[in-house]
Order: sequence, then structure tokens, then C-alpha cells
Amino acid sequence: MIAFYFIALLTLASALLVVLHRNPIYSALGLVNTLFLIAVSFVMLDAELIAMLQVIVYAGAIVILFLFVIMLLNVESEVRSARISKIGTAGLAFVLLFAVELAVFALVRDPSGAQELPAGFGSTELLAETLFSKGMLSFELTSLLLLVAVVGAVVMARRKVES
Amino acid sequence: MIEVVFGGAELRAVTPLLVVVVTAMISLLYEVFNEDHSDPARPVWLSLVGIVGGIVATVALWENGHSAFHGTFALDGVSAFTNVVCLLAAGLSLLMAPGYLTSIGVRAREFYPLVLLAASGMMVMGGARDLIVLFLGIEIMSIAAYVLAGIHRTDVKSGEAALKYFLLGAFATGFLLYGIAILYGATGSTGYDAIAAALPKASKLLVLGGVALLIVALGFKVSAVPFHFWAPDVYQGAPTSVTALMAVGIKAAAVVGFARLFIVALAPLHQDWAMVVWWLAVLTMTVGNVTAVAQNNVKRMLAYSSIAHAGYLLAAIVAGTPRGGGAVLFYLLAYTFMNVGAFAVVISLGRKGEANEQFDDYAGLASRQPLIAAAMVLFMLSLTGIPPLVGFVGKLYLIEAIVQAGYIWLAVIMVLNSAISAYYYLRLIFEMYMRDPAGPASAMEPAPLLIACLLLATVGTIFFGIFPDAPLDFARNSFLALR
Repeated sequence: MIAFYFIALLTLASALLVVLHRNPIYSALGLVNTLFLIAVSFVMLDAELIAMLQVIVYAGAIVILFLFVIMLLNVESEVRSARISKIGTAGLAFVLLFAVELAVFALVRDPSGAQELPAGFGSTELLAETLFSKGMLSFELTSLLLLVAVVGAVVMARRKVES
Repeated sequence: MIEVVFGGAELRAVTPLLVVVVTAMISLLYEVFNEDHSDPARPVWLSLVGIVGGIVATVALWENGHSAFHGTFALDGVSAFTNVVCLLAAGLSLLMAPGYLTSIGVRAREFYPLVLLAASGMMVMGGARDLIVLFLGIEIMSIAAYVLAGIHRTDVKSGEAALKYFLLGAFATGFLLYGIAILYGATGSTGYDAIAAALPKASKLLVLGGVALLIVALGFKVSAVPFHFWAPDVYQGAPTSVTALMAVGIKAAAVVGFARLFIVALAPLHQDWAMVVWWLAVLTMTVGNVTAVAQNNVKRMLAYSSIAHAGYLLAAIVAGTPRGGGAVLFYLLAYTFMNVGAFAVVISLGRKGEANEQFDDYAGLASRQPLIAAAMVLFMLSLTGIPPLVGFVGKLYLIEAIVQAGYIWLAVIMVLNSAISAYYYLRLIFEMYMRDPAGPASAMEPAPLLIACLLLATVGTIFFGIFPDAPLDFARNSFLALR
């Protein structure tokens, strides 16, 4: 329990760093940290594979891409303007909305319905088994979805427009 | 031990889908190696083979009560009907494409495989018996549609349409996923049968929250008011052959996905969602029709009319009965013929550099192009719901199903709305027959494939108006078999 609160506080702190720091590079590094800490939370929830994917895909690939873009474009520290504070207000509204939603979920939760986790829950084997039995069609359709997205991206991004 | 199930039932379920997808891939690869671009109509033929193959495979393989992949997907009567309607819509919009795309200067050969891929997404939606499969179907279809809307890269309006559709579509996807997640949290499953079984014990607050989000997301896809704001701009900005596909095929797939989810998985909650969808239907048909009256652009008028028709279809879903579901399916078939026909006429009037989409451009059309004007009269009358055309029969069965389920007022509002819609449909006929042409007559002949498309739409509009029984019985029985 103490470990959870410790990790949760650290996660919150680094998430705040992402939105509050003026230098985008620090923000991106804060994001890496946040995602890594969320991966730790996944480990505590017995979801090792998700934790691993979280580190590899989000922290490893996506945010590093962000960093590359920031460094290549040489983005300066932001200048605080009225617009930013407007976005801040909207963000605050969303925070309140999510707080209310969390409270609702916590209230309607039925603790008697909680079940013991089945053996091997969260393991790679079990996930693979589900993916290739129950989720086989979804798995294959996802590849079709990616194909459509790739073709679409090529069509829209092609530099030479034939006419 | 991993138990991979891939047997006869699975193969049967995916064969029509595979035919369409594989054709799309072959046609993509063919364009890579093909150097000869002299004949713009050539890539159409390959795509049409895929469309026809998909229809044949569907007709040969469907079976009521069929389910595959652990009950997540089925090629039953409902999905067979959806497959045929969506492939028909895709085929007809492919027929009108080559001449039109050449005339507006679009030479992107990816157009044809993308239409096939969009159609495959629609087929997935029709057969989905699981929220995740439904989601994937919606996304496959939508991403292809975003690109198709913007395929006219040099036209600002086409780009605007694509961007608007994409941004709002991504937003709707967020709602959809959130709704699925909440419903999963409440019922412990994403499969329709398991959801229906778990609903009585699930937390009502959570379930209703999830259902509300799903209504928002699916309402966006069927362009229901108040989630319709994207529709007029996107329909008007997209190339007309794409607009036809969006107004007919995408709407059909989304409506069937809506109907199957609500009539099968959420049947125990009918009392709760019926009221919400009731209001959605009434708002959609009324706002659609009233706004259509004020339009001066035919394509935009057809966009608002398509919103109104979404309202009629939602009204039959409110009924929540197999009869309502059957009426919805039949109306989708009817709508495919008459609406694609109307868009084909819009295309046939376009010239290089000028779209001729205003009502004024139709003035005196009867003397310039008597046959095309006559066909347009037929489509407009059918959209209004005048017997003996297919639009009348379709509307009749929608209203019958609504009355039978006890929603008398909904039926009354729908009839009143049909009366409003008569104004703008008949106004176009008035323009064509009662007014003199504004400009000099142009003698350009429509492309042969476009004529084929017009002919098919005309024949379908008349034939199924006089002999509606076979498809109607089929549609009803397939929804009865779902229970």
C-alpha cells in the first residue's frame, strides 16, 4: 500500500512537470518518467506484459520520437500568453469532471463482486492464448486496419499531385 | 495448450470479406507495376470483380444462426443483407467514378482499392457480434472514408471535408471506445450475447453511462442530430462519387451496427434507450428536412435529406422489434438505389471546371437531357415516398413496424416529415420541367459506366417498388432468427 502511494505521488509529480515546465524537452522527459511509473503500477496490478509494452512502446518509441522532433525543430521555451491560460481553465474543468467520474465509479463499485484472479492472470501466455482464440478475428482485422491507414497516409502525404 | 479454432464456420464467415480485401490488395499491387494510364476505366473492372465476387460469396455462404470466432462474428441473414447493400453501394459508386474523377482531374489510382477497403469495413460492421469487432469495422471503414473524402488533393473544399471528417470522426471514436470500456466494466464482456445475459445483474448507472456514450458515437456515424454538423460540409466537399458511398454505404453499415447492438445486446434495456433514441430520431428527421428546404445547392440538399432519412431509420430502431429491424434493412436497400441514382444524376451534369450543383443549373433540364431528367424525377419521387416506387414501400414498412410497436406519435411525426420533404424534392422536379434553361445547352454525353449506374439504380427503384416481397421477407426472417 505504501509502495502504491509512493509511486502514485511520483507519477502525479512527473505528470505535473509535463504540463507546467516551460521547456518542452523537460516536459517530454517528464512524460517518459510518467509513463515509466505507470508501467510500475501495471506490474503491481499483475499485468507484467502490459507493463513491458508500456515501457517499450510509449516510453521507448513514442516519447523518444517526440524528443527527436523537439530537438530537430529546435523549439524554444514557450511564451506564456492569454491563450495558454484559457487552455489551463479547460484542463481544470476536465480534471474536475474526471474527479466526479472517479467518485461515481467508486460509489457504484460492488466489493462483494470482486473475484480471485485466475492462475497466470496477466501473463504473456494467457494473453497470447486469448489473442489467438477468442480474439483471433480482432487480431487479424487490426492488421487490415493498419493496412488501410498506411495506404491512406501515403495517398494523403504524397508530394506530387498528379493532374 | 492454445486452442486455435479455425474451422468451416470461420472460413464461411470470412470468405466474402477475404474476396473483397484480396481484390483490393491485388488492385493496389497492380497499380504499382502498371505503367499504362491511358484508360481511366481499367482499374474499375478489377474492383467490380471483387464487388461481384463478394456478393456471390455472401449469397452462397450465408446461414441463419451462424456464428464464428467464439461468437464474435457471423454471416447470418442480417450480415448477408448488409453485405449485399454495402457492396451494391460501393459497386454503384465505383461505376460513376472513372469519368467523374477524370473530369475533376483526380488521377489517384488508390481510389478504387480504398473503396473496396471501406466496403470491407462495412461488411465487418454488419456481421459484428462483439464490440471490439464492431469498433475495428468502424475504423477500417472510416479511415478509408477520410482519405476518399480528401482524394481531390488540389481542391480546397475536398481537403476541408477530409480534415473535418477526420477530426470529428476521431473525436467520435474516443466516445465509442470509452463507451465500450464502460460497458465492458459493467458486464464483464464485449460479446453481444454475454452482454445481454449480464445486463440484469450489472450496475445500472455504469451501463447507462456506457450506452449513452455509444449512442453519441454511433449517432455521429449515422449523422443523427445533434451529432450531424460535419455531414453537410463533408458531403458537399467530398468528390460526388465518394459522397454517394458515404450517404448510402457508410450510413447502411452504421445503421445495421446500431440496430444489431441495440436490438440484440441491449434488448433488456429497451425501455431505457428507446426514449433517448426516440428523441434522436424525431430531432434528426425534423432538423434534416427543415434545413433541406432552405438549400440552394443540390448536393447539400441531398446531404440534409440523407440526415432526414437517418432519422426515419432510427425511428424503426426505436421499435426494437424484429419487424422494425427487417424494415430498416429493406429501407437501406431501397435507399441505396434511389439515393445513388440521385448522386449519379448530379455527377452527369458536372462539367470540367464547373460542378453545376445549384438548383438553377437544373432549370430546363427536361428539354436538354430528357432521359436524365426523367430518371431524376423517379429518384426524387421515390425519396419522397410516392407509390409504386421503392421509397414508398420502404417507408410504409418502417411506419408499419413503428405503429405495431405502439409508437403512434413517432409514426405521425414521420409522416408529417415526409410531407415537408416533398417540398424540396418536388422543387427540383419543378426546376427541371417548368423553367427555361438559364444558360446555353451543353451536349456532353455521360460516360458509359455512369449510364450503367443510372440504369441499375432506375431498375432497382422501380423493380423493388413493385416486387418488394422477396427482400422484405428475407430481412424480417433474418432479424427474427437473431432472437
